[in-house]
Amino acid sequence: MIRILKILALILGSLVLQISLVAKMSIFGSRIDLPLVLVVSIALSRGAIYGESVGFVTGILCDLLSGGPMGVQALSKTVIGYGSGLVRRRLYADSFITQLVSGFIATIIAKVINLVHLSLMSNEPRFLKIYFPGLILTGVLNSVLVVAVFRLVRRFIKDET
Amino acid sequence: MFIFISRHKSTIILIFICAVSLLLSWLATEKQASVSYNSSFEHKASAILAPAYFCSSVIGAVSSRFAYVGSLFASIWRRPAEREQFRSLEMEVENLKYQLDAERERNRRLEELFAVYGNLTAAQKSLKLVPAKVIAVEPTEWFRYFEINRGTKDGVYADMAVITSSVVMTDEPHLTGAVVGKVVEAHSRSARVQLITDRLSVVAATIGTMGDLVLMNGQPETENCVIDQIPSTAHEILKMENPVVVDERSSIFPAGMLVGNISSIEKGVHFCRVEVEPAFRFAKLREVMVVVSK
Repeated sequence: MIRILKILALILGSLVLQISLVAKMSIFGSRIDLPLVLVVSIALSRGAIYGESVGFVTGILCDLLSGGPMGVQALSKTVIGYGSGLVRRRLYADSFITQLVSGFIATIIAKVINLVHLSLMSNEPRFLKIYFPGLILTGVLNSVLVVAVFRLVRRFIKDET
Repeated sequence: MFIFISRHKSTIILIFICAVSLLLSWLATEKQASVSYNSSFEHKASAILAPAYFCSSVIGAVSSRFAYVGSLFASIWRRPAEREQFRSLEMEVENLKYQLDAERERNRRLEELFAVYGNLTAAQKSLKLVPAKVIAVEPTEWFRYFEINRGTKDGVYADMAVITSSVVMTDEPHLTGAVVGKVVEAHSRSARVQLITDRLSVVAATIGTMGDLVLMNGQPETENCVIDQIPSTAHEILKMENPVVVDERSSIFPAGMLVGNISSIEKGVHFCRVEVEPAFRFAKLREVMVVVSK
């Protein structure tokens, strides 16, 4: 129960920071996706079930706060949470290379899922236009942040004995 | 069955959550597409999502408290770019101010010229004037010529007088026409004008109430004109600031038009030498008028 409350606090904190602070900062036009970074970090730390649950809750809240169509970010973050949880099962999650690569690939896959979902909803392929340099820069920024947030999550949510 | 579910718990949860997400997306699409949408299903979905709506409103309220901190941070983050932008805007404002001052000065000159045009044509109906712009000046120190943007196509020919506006500073300052020079060469769309301060220029003039005809030559070194050969007996009549006007016997310039004012008097044994400061300033000459008929 305490662990769930801690996770909820982390989710709410990441969303507050994303809206108030991160949304106003851009590095060469790219913005960090703090909720996505949190989902990947929790999934690498706690596994697939935690990852997809946190991804769904975070995604729903992101959809409500962004004013965009419901379910888009919920779907992408759920898939990312599940995929990152599988990585934990198969690879050594404590390695920072695993965290970097997971963060980068998660950003790319989340973007692709969002764009495909939106294009299916609107029956127009225009959402398939991706600005690749910006996407790669966002992936790099998110992957670096995953390394830091993973350690924070590990320390904050310890195993109950 | 239970073993299957326990082994594939995460995959089953994933499929369930994905189905819920796709259902929510479908609901959102249907709501946008249809006006008379049956919203009973939506009401049920909204009831389930009520905790999420509550959380999002809490997040929004908390974020607005942090918004000031975010703006402060963002302003520090954007400061170098904003500083650069501010500098370039400052320079642009300076340029625009300079352009505005130049346009205001141009307006003032044109208004003066137009007033003189009106006064002269009202006083003398046969007088016909063509306005012109100074487009080039003679680059040497020895001669005083400039080009105007009117030529034979506009009715401008050689030996026509060129005048401009001047403010006469008497008890009541007023605008009047002042002699600038004469056209020496006319092409189809431009003409060359010789200033009265050119060393080869000669103007038939008269000084104040003297009434005698004097010949005024140009003196480009001082940007003035000189009148030699005035009998010394006239020295007492001559006074500083006396106006020098075009004599009625002049064949080129309009009679009585102001040429300049006496700026110095040198008395010799038999003759006086008078220096005349023109009524116009060569450095500020931009627009003139050509007297095409008088």
